[in-house]
Amino acid sequence: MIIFCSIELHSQGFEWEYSARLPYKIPRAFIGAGYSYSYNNNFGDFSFFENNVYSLNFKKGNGYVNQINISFQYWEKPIIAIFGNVLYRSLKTDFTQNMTYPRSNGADNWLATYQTNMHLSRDYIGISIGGKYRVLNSYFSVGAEITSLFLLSSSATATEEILSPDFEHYIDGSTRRDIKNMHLPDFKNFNVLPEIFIAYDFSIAKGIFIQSSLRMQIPLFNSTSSDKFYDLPLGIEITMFKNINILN
Amino acid sequence: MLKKSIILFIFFLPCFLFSQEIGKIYSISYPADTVVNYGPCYIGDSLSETFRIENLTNDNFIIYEVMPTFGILRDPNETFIDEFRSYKNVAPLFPINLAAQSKTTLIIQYNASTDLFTSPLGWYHSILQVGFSEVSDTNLVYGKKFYLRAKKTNKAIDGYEDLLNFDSIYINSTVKESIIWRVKSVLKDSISLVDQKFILLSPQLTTDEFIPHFYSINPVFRYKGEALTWQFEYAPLDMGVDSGRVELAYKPFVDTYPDSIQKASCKLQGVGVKQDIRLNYANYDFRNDTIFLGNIQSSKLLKINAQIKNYGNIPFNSIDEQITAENLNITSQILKKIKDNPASINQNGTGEFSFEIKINNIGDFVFRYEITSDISQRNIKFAPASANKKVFYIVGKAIEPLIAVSSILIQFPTIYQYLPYCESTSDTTLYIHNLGNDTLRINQIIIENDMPKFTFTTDKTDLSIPPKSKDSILIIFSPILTKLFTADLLLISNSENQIDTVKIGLIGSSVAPSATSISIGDYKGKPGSIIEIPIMVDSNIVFSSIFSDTIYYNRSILQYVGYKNQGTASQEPIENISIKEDSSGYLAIYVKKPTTTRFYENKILIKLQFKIYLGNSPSTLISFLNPRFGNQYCDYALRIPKENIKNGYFEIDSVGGIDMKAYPIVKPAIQIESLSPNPVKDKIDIKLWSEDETFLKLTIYDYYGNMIMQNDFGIIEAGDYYISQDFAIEPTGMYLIVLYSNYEPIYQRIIKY
Repeated sequence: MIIFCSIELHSQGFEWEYSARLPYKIPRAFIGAGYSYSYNNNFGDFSFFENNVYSLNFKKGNGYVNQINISFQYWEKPIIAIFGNVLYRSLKTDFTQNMTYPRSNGADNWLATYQTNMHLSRDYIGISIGGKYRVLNSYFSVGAEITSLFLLSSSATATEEILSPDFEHYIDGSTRRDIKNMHLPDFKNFNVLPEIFIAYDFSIAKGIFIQSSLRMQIPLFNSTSSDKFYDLPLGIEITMFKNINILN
Repeated sequence: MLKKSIILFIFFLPCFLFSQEIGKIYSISYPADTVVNYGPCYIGDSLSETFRIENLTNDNFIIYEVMPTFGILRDPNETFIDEFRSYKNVAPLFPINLAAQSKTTLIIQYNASTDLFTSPLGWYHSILQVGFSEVSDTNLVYGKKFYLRAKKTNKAIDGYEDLLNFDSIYINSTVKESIIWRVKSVLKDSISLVDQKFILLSPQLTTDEFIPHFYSINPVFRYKGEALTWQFEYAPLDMGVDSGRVELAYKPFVDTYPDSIQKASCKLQGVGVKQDIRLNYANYDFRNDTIFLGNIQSSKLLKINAQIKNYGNIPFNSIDEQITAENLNITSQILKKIKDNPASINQNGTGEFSFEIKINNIGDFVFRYEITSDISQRNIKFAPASANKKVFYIVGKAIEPLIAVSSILIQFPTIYQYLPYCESTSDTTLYIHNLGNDTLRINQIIIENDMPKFTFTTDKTDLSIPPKSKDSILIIFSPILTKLFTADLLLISNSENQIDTVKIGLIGSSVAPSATSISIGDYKGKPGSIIEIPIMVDSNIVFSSIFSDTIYYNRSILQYVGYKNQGTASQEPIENISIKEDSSGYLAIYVKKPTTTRFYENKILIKLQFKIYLGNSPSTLISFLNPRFGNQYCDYALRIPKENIKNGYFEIDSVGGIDMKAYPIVKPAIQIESLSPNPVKDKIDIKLWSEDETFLKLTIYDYYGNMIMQNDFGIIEAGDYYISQDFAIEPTGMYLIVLYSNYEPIYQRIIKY
């Protein structure tokens, strides 16, 4: 019996049946909503143009990703679930690049170092599908998903400041300026991103559980059409699921 | 002597008249002579001579005792009247029939009468005429005259001659004239000579000229009528008469008068002669037999007058005169000959000759004026062959300058008209040779230019060139227009007439120099990088070898670092590349190829390398200020119209916000290069830099403006300095560091924590 019981597995592994006399049909389909926050590492090599003048190449950046999503999860087996999401993702990325130029006034030469900071903002909606697998019948599971993102908008702001020498300044006397007319990276309108995660499910009520996951996007695909721009977000996601009675 | 010659002539004349082979008449003793010397005949004695008469014809003739067939005639020069009567015919009797092809003899006897009054001692002469005539006619068919001579003497021994005359003998002959003296005993037998002696009568000026050959032992006349001979030789060594006497002493009556000595003697006489013709005058220098004309101009007619003088002792006659020369091309004409004067040139007499001569060759010459003497035709014995001709030598040196030039047409290379920048000239050296042996004097060197004048000029107006040498003139072509020029160069010299003026054509042309272009393109570059900016040219650069210009640009943007010429028009070989930049942005460029080379045909003249700076302007023009392409002739060998000069443009690239950055900025003379750490805890290190000598004072104020510390560093030199300021005891908060110097104060905020 013990053995039997032990092998009687329930979806999500949650024991939501109070007793055998009060049988509870373990739901298999769930719907939920979630939020994720990721620290985003960016690496790439893309050109920065100001007033259509090439200025420099950004190569490393970082930022964060906020995402909300509506999820549907269906447990195909007690240890395997498939899911799909509809999501909205917002990425904020900062790039910094120092450039040192030899300067001259015709008589004296010196080095001047400028730092260019660019703040990128992108908004996507998307869908994703994936599956997860419970590990050792525990509440831990590993999974993977494919996310398809549609670019809603992108924007950037940039500034440049003079790091050295001290006497160096712009023509207006300042040492910092906003870069207004710049050329953005040509982000793809549609992007597919694979992602892996480790999740832990825990139930908070009968038919309701929360999936918390630590996830990382695998940078297989370039985010831009012609430049080199990869996002490597690493973050957490919390999604609350509730069973869908009509589907169970 | 003259007298004897006339006599002989008279005697021999009939012989010539009757020289046909009709007959022969001759003396037995002297068959070849018409002079029959009977010799000495003692008083009262007689001598006979036989004459043979031969009829060589087939006719019969007859000899009558009368003339013209026979006669003993008086010698018109005889000393005594009737000398001839001492001669008479003794046999045969007349008339003598002389049959055809027959001969007969005729004996003529000389009788020395004892009558010394009417017939004194001495020589007796007669003329014997013998001939034959036809029987029916007394006209002489053939006849001959003989000169008979006999000496009536009272000496037992006497000679056939009293005088042995050697006549005229040329002096210093290697051959000696020899005469035999016959001496005959006319009185009796056996007479011995007791002495043989020769006595020189004339002054002895030289060694012996008479050589008597005496018997080593006094000979003996063994019988009456015996004749002995003595030989005497005569070889004169100097001019003039020489005479001597030979004496033969004997004792005629040794038995009866043993002390009585008689002498047979004979006088010897000869004349040493010499033909000695010398120059006495000439219108040129002369010495001995040579006339020295010196240096004369060839092909010039010279007249030579000369006078000769007879320093010999015989008259001189010319039978021919001519001018001879060997291996010498001369033209001569004798104007006056010695023989034109028929009179002989006697001793110390003079004669003149003259001739014209033209030497057609140059160089040393010798020719002869030969006078053929008549000496060989005269009775002068042993005259050397050299005496047949008297030769005068005329020597000199025919000189003539002979001009020769290396070319009669000089074509100058086409030159470019660089005016007004440069004088466009070309020059060439014309070598003028003097092939002659006289100094060539070019008295005038003229260039006949077309307009404009002075297109062709020379550096000399005259020239003197020694023989067998050369000199040169420089011909300068200096056109002031672009066209073809021609001129004639005339060298007027003292060379041979036909080439005393040499005309040399001069041709030169001048063209405008080619136009070229120069440009620098538009470039962009990122500060910090090196940009290579080529100076672009066109193919006409191949006409130049020097490029110079100053390029101006904004040196706060571009600063020259070097050049590359490999693979450009100015690649090796190169003589000099000098590119210098000054602090104002002027880049002085000077590229020079070796003089004889030109730039290669390449679109790139040279590549200039600049380091790009973020300067005080976003861009700069790269301007040619005065580009010049030159060569060894002119610094402006190529024209560069303004429209062919395209300046370059450089723009700073890859710098965003260039308009905000590229403005004139002044680097402070003193500045803080680093200040750390900030915020500071214990100690703050300041690295500063000063451009020049200045005082330096560090002052620190607190947040409220109170000065909390001050360090006076005094006067510091230019350079980097490290200042370390202890800050450990200061309370936390914000502070202001101020650096005071000769320049603007420097403020820096720090935070103490």
